[in-house]
Amino acid sequence: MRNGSPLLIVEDNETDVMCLKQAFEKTGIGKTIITASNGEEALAYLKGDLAGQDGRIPNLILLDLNMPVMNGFEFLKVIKSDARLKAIPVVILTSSTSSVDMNDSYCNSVAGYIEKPMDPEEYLNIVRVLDQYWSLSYLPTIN
Amino acid sequence: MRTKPLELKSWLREYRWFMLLEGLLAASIFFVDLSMELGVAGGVLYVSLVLVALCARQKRYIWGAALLGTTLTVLGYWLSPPGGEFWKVAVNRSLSILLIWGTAIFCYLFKLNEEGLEEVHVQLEQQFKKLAKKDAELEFANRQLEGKITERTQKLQATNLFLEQEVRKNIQAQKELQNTHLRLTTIVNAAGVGVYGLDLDGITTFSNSSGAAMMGYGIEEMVGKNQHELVHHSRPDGSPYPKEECFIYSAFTLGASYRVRDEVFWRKDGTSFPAEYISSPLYEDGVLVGAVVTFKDISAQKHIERERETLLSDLESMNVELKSFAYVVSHDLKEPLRGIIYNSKWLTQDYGETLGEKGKEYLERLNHNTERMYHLINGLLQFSEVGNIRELSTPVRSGSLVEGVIRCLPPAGDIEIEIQGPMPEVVYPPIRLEQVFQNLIANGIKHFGKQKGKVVVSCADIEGFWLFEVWDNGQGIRPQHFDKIFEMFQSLDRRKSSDSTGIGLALVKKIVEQNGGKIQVESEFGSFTRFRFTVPKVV
Repeated sequence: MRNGSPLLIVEDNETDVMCLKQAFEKTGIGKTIITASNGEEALAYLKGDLAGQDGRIPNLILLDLNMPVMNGFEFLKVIKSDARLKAIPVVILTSSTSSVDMNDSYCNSVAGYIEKPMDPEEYLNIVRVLDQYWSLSYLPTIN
Repeated sequence: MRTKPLELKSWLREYRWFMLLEGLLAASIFFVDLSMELGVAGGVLYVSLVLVALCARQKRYIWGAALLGTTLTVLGYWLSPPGGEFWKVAVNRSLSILLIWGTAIFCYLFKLNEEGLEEVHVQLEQQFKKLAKKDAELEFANRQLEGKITERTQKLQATNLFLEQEVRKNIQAQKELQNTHLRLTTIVNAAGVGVYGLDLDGITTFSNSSGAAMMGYGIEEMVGKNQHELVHHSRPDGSPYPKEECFIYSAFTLGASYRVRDEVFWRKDGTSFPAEYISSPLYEDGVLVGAVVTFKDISAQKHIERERETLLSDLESMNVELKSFAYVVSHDLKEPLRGIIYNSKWLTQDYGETLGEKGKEYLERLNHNTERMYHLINGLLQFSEVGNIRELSTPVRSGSLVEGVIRCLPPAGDIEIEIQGPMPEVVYPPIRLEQVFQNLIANGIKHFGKQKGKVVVSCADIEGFWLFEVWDNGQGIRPQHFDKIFEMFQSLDRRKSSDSTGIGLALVKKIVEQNGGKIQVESEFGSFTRFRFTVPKVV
């Protein structure tokens, strides 16, 4: 993956977060991972002082849709209407295979839509493909 | 005794017998006279000639007989042998002649009298005959009259009978009419329909009792009044309703029928009720004379309508809730389920060896069941989505779509999958068409039941539709299961694999039918299975 900027995972399910972290470790992709358990937390981080520090603003977000407090769509709408944050590519990682959810996501300018796998081993694959793709594709620089 | 002279008389009435008798008598008297002396008054006997002549037909014979007697008397004077004294003889002969003529005169007069009587008699007889004739005529006329009277009487009787029948029929008809009228009135009143009539000025001409009762008036209070001012003066919101805009008026001003169901009629007590009315123009002999208005109180109906609307919107929101409920529930179920799946897999991976054979078997069974549940939830989500959301139909090249589906299928061993013949472009929601083929082909492979064979996809052009076919020469389906396979959760061998959820074919059927098509299955157990479904062509 390009840049040294961190990756933000917005996910309320700890197992999934764990799987992802393990997958990144196992594949040896050196990427700083920041986690938030819902949209509100993620927004607080993005707009907070911490994110303002150099190199702490993420340039890729992995977003779950179904979350408490603030769900994925609500979060998407906020950051896609924020002049500074809307450049960050968002990849949806969800268990939903509803075409409504897919269409709504793409209407909110997501960069991808991935179904959470039934087999935890699959996360390795997902992380590898993501890494490959975002190594090929340039990522934006957020100030 | 009396008949003899009559017979003699009638006999003498015949001319020749009379002449013969007169001749014989005259000759014999003349002979007697001649054979006696002159002094004997032989001439007196000639009186008998006159008397005989009395019986003759005509009275002039009397004069003839007298003349003959006189002549013979005179002749006897000359021819008889002389005797007696002259004066005696002369007196004798003169007295005889005198007697003859006296008798003749007497007889003549008698005859004359008799003739007069006879004439009277004849006349009387004639009168009698005439009378008898008149009598007969009268009798005939009488008889004729009687016949005519009888005939007339009979005719009159027949007419009478006919009239009686007519009257009876009339009474019957009148009764029926009364009954019909009663029935109609009863029906009209029982149906709760108000009926009233208006003339061209909008004045009430009649009203039925239920109509008047609905408005709280007596019939007599309505008839003769302006109906609009009485019960139709204001709109439902209470604002004045000018009669120029009234649809009831329009019936007799414009000559057309109007049906209105969003206005109110005002009762006598100032309250109103929602009414539905029909105002129709009334014609008499082709001339517009007013209008007939029928109306009913539709309060209950309106109430029901409102309730129905409320129920419908309730139902709709409940439906929406139910759908989102199904969606959210299945969605939320997936998360923890995935957690179970992950953990049981990790358990198998990391501690499988220490659990022993038995433990591993339990874990495998756990995995199998949780995975099956996962597929079930996914299937339910897909199923509830079909028709739930508006999907855009776009032109789809079915050939390449099916190729894509085949590529994404798991390897099928020695089962060949092929597309036969040209595949058309159809207009369909692409994801749904993909789901249909994916399920049908995967279904064919999953339930193939043989080591080798093939699945063939093809399409035929039929009237107005494309007929797609997915055929395989696998084990087939028993006919008793044909209907069942399209029902939800009716997988026929659910224990074999975790992804045989029994939703696939139900989903296929739902998609096909939602998009205006039909699906059917044909199979021969042990030989083949053929699914065929239609896709309507878009004109």
